[in-house]
Amino acid sequence: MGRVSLRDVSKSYGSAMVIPGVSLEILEGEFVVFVGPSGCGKSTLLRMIAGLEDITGGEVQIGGRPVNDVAARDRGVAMVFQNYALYPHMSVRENMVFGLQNLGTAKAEIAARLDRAAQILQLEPYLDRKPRALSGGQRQRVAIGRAIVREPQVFLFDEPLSNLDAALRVQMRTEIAKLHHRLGATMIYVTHDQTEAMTMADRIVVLRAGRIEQVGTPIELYERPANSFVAGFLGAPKINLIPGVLTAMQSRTATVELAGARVPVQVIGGTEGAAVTLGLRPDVLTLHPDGPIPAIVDVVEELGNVKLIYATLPGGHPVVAELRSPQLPKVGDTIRLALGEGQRHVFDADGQAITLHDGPAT
Amino acid sequence: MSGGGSPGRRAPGTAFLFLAPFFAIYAVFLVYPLFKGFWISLHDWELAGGYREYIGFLNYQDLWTDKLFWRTIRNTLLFVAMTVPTMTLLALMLALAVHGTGRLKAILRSVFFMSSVFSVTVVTLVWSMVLSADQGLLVPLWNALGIKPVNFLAHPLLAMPSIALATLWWGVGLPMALFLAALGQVPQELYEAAELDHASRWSVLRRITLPSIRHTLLLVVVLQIIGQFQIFGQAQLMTQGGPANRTRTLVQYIYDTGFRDWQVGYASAMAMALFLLMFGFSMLQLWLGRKGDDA
Repeated sequence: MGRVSLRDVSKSYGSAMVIPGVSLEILEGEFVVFVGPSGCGKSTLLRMIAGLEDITGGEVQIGGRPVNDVAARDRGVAMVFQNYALYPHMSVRENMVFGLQNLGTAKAEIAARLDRAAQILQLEPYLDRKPRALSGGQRQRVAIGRAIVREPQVFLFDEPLSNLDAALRVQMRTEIAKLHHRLGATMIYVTHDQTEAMTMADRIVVLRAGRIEQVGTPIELYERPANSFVAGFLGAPKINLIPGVLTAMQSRTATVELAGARVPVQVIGGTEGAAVTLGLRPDVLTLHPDGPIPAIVDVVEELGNVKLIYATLPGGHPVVAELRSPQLPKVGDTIRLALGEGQRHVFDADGQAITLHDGPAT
Repeated sequence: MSGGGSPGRRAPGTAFLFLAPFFAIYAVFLVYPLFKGFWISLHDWELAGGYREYIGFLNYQDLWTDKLFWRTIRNTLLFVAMTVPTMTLLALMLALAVHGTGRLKAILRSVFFMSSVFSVTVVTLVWSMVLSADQGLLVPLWNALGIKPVNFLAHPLLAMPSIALATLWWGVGLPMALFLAALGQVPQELYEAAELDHASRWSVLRRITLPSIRHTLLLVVVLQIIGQFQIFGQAQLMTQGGPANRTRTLVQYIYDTGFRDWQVGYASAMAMALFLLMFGFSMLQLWLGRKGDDA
């Protein structure tokens, strides 16, 4: 029922191609997050699935049925908009049942569904209020409630949390995740926030300039990014991408020379002497008196359990280390960074990963 | 700003200073003439010469028994009833039709608005020519149908609707423009949400578009009431109040009484009656419109 297939779906506005071609299978009951920087086409793709945007090429299927020529209303999808798009002149109740009334649903059925949705979202006290008398979080819940009562095959979320403050965003994130477990419906969620993607998704689709860079579970993408863009987009603080040169190549091992240091890595492919980028998550770096990488401390951020050290390598390249040691350097100190446990990612000159991973992805 | 005072509690003198120019103009051109008009209406006051005699409410008593006055009131109300709802509805329909993107719609927006820039003399001349029974635009149609050409402007029942028709054609541009501006303010996402909510076009109009533009709707109706009660030029130029006073409007009667018969006192009394009428209807409209606004 709630399966969504994109077959080489493309979109252009006149001569401007914004989505050159996207193919993707979304399984029934899956929570898929489209993530990418602004302008990457993620919202356009979502709107094409919804039927609010024409499809220039390719085919969209929902529940096995091609829907390219099916009106948005008949696609069996419900959408939660970024600005909520609540009808300002209707009460919360009217907002939520408007769709069912239009479909001619029986009154008893409407009342039952309304009660259920209001209960799930704790909206019972607000049913007779107008949207303008609600807070941002409450409005967002009404927008979700309006989608729930329709019992759609597919839920579409277009950056639904971006207008909320940070604390509320975390809370709503959990609520949406809970809702997904409870309803078991297919959900497609668009965001530019990598934390939302990492915490909510069954699978993440990373988009750049209208193309899919990588699709996979959050942990797959985090641990085995296909390229430096994906590596840089997921994870906070950002992964350190340090330029270097590949040397001392054996069959599977090599050394990346950077800023006077030599870092042993495991690679597949790559050529001796080629320029590469070494990707080191901040938590891989540790402080050690004999560490191979020297750096000068610029900023120290204490976040409680962890401390972030922003430093500069001899070549002028910035680097971030996430430390748990109680001993902290001061700004201006020269420190020596060593490599602890954790993956050392290597990307070739085109940014594609040539890292050799041990065993299957977790 | 003096220390600690909130912006709302500054010296009241400053506020009055800024408001003074408006108050001055308001007082000289609106408040004073209104009271002066009322003052004149209490006199037997001739336009030229110095004959002015205080007669109290005698002019108003005369109005009560003036058959022509009531006739013109009736005609004016009839005209208002013909034009205000139709004009509002027509302007709304045109706005809905030409709202949005596209070259054709842009051209049509200009076309529908264009008639508003003509003066009343041009408009009435055009429509007199269209409706003329001798060489009017419609004459070939009547001939083709084998019907004797109708002289609309001399017809006791059709003269007033003809004036109303010319007025609609002339005046629809501005309310349409107001509606277009209001429609442009309705967020596109509401329509997208309504589409996903399976709303029919009628349902979208009734539940989303109209509630979103209701303040503009109210404004248009009030402006129309104020405008159409003052109907003068079209009736004066197209029918001169005929046939048999069937299109004589209140402002026409006021004009004739004041400037043809020089009875300024009596004309002022009628003007006061017109003012009360317009005031009453506008207030009623505003009150009806406000009723739907909950806090």
